[in-house]
Amino acid sequence: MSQLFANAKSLTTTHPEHAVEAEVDWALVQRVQAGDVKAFDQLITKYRERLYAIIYNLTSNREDTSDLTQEAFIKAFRSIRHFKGESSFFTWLYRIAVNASLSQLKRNRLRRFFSFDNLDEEVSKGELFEALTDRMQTDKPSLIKELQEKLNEALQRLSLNHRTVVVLFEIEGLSHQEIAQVMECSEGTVRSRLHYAKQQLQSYLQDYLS
Amino acid sequence: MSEPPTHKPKVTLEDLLRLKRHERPPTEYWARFDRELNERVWRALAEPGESGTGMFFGWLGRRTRWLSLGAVSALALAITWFGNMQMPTIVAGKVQPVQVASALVTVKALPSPVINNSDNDNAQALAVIAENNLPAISQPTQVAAQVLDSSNLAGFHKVPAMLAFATGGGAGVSYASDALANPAFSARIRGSAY
Repeated sequence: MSQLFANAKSLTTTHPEHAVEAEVDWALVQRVQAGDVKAFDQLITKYRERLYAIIYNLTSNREDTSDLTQEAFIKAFRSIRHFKGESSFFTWLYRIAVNASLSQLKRNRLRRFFSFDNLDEEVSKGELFEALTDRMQTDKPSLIKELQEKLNEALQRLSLNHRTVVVLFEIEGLSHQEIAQVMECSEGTVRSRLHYAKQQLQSYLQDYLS
Repeated sequence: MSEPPTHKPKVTLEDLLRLKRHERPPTEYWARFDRELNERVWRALAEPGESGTGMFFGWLGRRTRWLSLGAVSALALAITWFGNMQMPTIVAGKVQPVQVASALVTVKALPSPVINNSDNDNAQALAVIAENNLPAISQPTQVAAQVLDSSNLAGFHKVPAMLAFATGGGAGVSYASDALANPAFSARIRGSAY
C-alpha cells in the first residue's frame, strides 16, 4: 500500500467499511491511470446510484440529475490522472458531483423546481414506509407522500451549503470528516451547518412533525 | 397548498430524511443511463485537444514512445477485441457519427516500421477504435483495424478506422499516436462508409 494511500485512509475514513471501499477504489483508479478504461466502468457502476441520489436530493429535479450525474463522471474521467490518492476516491468524486450541482443551482437560482417525484411504488411497500404508516396510525400512504413533498420544499428553502450538509449526512450517511473533505471546509463548520439546517427544517415542518 | 393536519403525525424529521434514502430510479433506468454515459465518455475521448483524447492520451504518452500518424496509417493490425460496444443506429444514406470503443488488444502483427520499436509482438495494451457502421461483433472477434481505406488481411472485417493502439515494450507501455487528435483524420473517420 502506498504511503499516499495510507495517508488517504487516515485522513478520510471514519466508517470502517469506507476504508475497505477506498482501498478497492484506489486499485481501480490506478488501473484507469495505467490506461485500463474498462476499470472506470466499474467505478461508474459502483457509484452511479449514490451520485444520482446526492444530486437528486440537492436539485430535486430528475432531468437535471441525470445530466449532472453523467457530467460528474465525465469530469472525473477527464481528471482522474490528477487524482493522487490523497483523499479517498469517493470523497473526490462526491466533491465533483456536489460542485457540479451547486454550479447548476446557482445558474438557475431564480428557477423553482416543482418536479418533485413521488415515492416509488417499491418504496411505498418498504419496511420503513410501513413502520411510518403504522406509527402515524394511518393507512393513507398519501399522507407520507405529502410529508415528503413538504420536506422537499423545506430542503429547497435551505441555503445550498446547508442543504448539501443535510443531504450528505442525513441521507447519504457520510461522516462529518468526510463531508468536510467533500465541501472543503472544517469539521466544525460541517457540524455547525448541520445543526442550523436541522433547526431550520424543524421550523419549516413544525406543523407536520411530532 | 394543503392545510397542515389538525393533529401532528408521529413522525420525526429523521424519519422523513431516512425515507429519502429510498428514492431511487427503477432498475431499468440504469440501462439507459449507462448507454448514454458510455456514449458521452467516448465522445469526450474522441474530442481533440485538451478536453478530449489529447488530454487523456497525452498524459499516457509521457511514458511512451509516440509514433507518427504516417506510421500509424501504414499499419494493419490483427487484434482480438474483448470489449463490448453499443452499436450506433444506422440510417440509410447517412454517415453516422463516430462511434468509439476501447478494447484490450493483442498485437499479433505489425507489418510496419513500428514493430521495430516494440520489444514484444504479443503485448497487450489499450486500443481505441472508432467506426461508424461496423456490423455487430460477437466477442472475442478477430478484427483487422487500419487507418487506410481497405484491409487486405484475409478473414478480417474491415474497420473504418483504427485510431490508436499500443504496443508493449519492456516493463512499460507504449502508445501509438492518437489519430483522433488529428482533425484531418477525424474527418476521414466521419466520412468513411462501408
